[in-house]
Amino acid sequence: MSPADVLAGLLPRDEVREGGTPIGGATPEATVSPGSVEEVVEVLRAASAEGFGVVPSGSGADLGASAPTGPFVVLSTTGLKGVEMYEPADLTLSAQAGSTLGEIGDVAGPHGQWLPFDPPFAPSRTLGGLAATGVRGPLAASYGAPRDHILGLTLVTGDGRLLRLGGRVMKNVAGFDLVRLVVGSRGTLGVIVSVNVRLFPRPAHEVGLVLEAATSHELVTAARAVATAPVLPASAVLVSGLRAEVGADASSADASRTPKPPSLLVLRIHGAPETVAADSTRLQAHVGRSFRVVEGAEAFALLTAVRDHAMTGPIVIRVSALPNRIGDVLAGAEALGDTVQIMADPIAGRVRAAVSGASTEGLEQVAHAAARLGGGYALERAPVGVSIRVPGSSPDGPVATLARGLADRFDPQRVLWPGKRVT
Amino acid sequence: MTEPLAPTLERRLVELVGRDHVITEADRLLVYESDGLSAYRWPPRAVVLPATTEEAAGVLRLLHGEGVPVVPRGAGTGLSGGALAAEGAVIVGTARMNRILALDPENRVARLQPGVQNTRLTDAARPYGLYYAPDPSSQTACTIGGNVAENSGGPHCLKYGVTTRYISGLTLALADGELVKIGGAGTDPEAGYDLVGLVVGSEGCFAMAVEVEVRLLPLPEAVRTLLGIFASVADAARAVTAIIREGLLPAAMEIIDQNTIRAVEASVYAAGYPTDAGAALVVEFDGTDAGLDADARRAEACCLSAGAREVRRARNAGERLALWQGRKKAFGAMGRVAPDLLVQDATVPRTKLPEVLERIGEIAKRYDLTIGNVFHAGDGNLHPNVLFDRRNTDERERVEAASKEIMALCVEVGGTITGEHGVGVDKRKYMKLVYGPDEIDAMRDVKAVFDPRGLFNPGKVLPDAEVSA
Repeated sequence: MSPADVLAGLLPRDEVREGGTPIGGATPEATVSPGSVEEVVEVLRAASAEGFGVVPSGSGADLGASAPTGPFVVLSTTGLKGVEMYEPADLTLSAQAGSTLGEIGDVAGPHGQWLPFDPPFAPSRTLGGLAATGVRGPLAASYGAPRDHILGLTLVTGDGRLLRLGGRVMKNVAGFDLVRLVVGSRGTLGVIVSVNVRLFPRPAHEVGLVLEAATSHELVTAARAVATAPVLPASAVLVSGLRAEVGADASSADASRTPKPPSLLVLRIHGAPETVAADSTRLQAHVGRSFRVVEGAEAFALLTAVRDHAMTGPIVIRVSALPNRIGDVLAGAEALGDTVQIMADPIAGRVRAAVSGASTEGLEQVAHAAARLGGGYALERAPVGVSIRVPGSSPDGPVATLARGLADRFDPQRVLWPGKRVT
Repeated sequence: MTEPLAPTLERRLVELVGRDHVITEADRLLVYESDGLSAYRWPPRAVVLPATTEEAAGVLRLLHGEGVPVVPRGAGTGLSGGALAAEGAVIVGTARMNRILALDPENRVARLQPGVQNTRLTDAARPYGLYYAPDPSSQTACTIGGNVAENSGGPHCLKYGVTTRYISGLTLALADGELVKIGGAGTDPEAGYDLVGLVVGSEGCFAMAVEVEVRLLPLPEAVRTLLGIFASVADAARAVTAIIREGLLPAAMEIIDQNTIRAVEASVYAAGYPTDAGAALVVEFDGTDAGLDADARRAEACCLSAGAREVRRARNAGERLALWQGRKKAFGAMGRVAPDLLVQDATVPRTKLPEVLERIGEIAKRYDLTIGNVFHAGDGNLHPNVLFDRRNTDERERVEAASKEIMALCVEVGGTITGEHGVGVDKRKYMKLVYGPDEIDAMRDVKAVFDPRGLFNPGKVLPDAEVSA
């Protein structure tokens, strides 16, 4: 029997469909959207028994560039929806994994609270996907990463065990911290079915500070000055190739006729109005430059554009290095092509580049340079067949051995994300 | 009395680290027989004090070769018996691994050996305008390695979070002495499993951290500290909830109850708190100077509307210290009232604080015990301090029974059995209150991946395995 037939016998008809969106060029046998935790358990038990793979998926924003190996189904968590518990005075919320960050924002917003996570396309991402990827946006500079504010989660392991990890309180050191192991494990240890998070009070006032230059290179010094300033902005991002001029019509996408857009350094500053004013003054004085101040709808549009920048294009590469080496990484990434889009975080030391047509050699050079600087790289998006090989990344080292050991314990049959190596 | 080390093993350890740094004499081992929780006293077979990563790895390799269990130990300030040597273990102490290896202000990280004491790191970073945020109450004694093992908290976690947020990389020595570097500034934090996050808080049961990389923060420009005086802890707890509802995020919110206030005021640490008060609440804001007065005014209004009879505001650094005095010296002052003090630790959802405190009061009454509460109210992290006399068997049993009820109560309202002190030896028996057999087995599995022979810190954290028929 095919995986689709097996699953059709287990789940309600409307939760199983044949095929699905390809991942890294490989088409799933079926896509299932279980409506309950019990059904997730059923799917994983069936996969373990029948020997087909399961790729957990939230919004599908971050499934990566590589293809699963062997026959597999996509397990979508979008059928698991709803806030299970929200206590504003505790700043804690629990929701099923398929709830989107936008939906959670709608629940918490009226209480003056929010989840300060801003990965690309944040509102459409699911909470489970956020936990599974651990993906960070620029706000991680001041608020920390998802792993810092996920208090607990419920996981269905590869062999169908239901584990309730962590809890719903701010401080918890009861037992080993399996929550942090699972956060960022990208679906290789289990399917996250619900998540408990800590919320924050939503800042009363917010501005964007913008510095413009013809090239990103000219902004590196200012960006690094921000990263070493005595006061941290909520976030700092350096972008180039951003066509959507804020407030202007973004539809003039004809690159050959519009002049090359300027590079921007965008700082996000928020808090009480008097704090925002003082921090803005202090940061500009420290950098020694005068920034343009944007507020209200204009600030919101700019921060959103910057957050989502350099995510579209056939190839998206992410490179990390020590923050004070960001200039070197930027230079390498910009050399990838004429139409490269860049989004760099000078506080985290991270650069994301989207290119329409880079050679494998070019990508490998950037990755290699990052590795030489003691950093890392990942291909977030790539056409089928494009991959990066950099000498020195060893699958046999002690870290890889530990990682394999952990995956074996959570997914003894190795049904989850077949072929994916998380080390 | 535990069995001494085999003479050949002892000789080889001495060759590796030097005679002075292998302790086997019973009188010198006494220092290591307990930690900050004095109820347990287990003398180790020996204590070895390596000075370098290579020495530490070598020591582990030798002990591994003989199948001798190992307990890594920092300053021994822990409050759950986690640094005690069970099952014939040898303690590997970090007292000599106390160098700050690199301080990198540009990237705001520092690399250090695990034996560096917590405040020494901030002292070293301060000239660069930076500091290390986690500040457990024992910070003038405890070590970064110990903080990593326990995932230590402190009063300022409400705004800044606990230790795990500030550890960016670790070099581990596994049981067989193999060195493994995980994380590290500049590496991609989204690549691979968060092994750093997994190891932080593992109470020395996975591996020994031989090098630690920490994140530093810019020093806040200014601080405002308030002290609210209340008729009851319930009122003070309501003020805390009101402050959170107001959308404020103080760096710290700490409550001291009447028993504790009286103990402090009767001691050399007297801080000028009114002894007829039911509770005192310390609220502290830090950050950019410009916004802090407004924050403090709003918090003051929250306190008054929750029934505070008085709110004091520190006008300078000296007054700030005075307001904090009662909180900081609470354990010391309580410790003087009775021969023994059990510092309990649990977390509950903040909104449950009034109910839980009232029920802890009932439990104390029922068991005829004196319990003082000093706690991190902002995070719902309780520290009921139970006074007793270890020599009084009946009282000791009542302390045990009351502790168990308090733990069950905290779990019942949605909390947990430890917020920052760890499970260690003391709370293994409560693990089943919070986790089912599958979760505990998963934890056992993870330990086995790091430590397949079970040599690291045996007898800690996890309850004994069920023996299946």
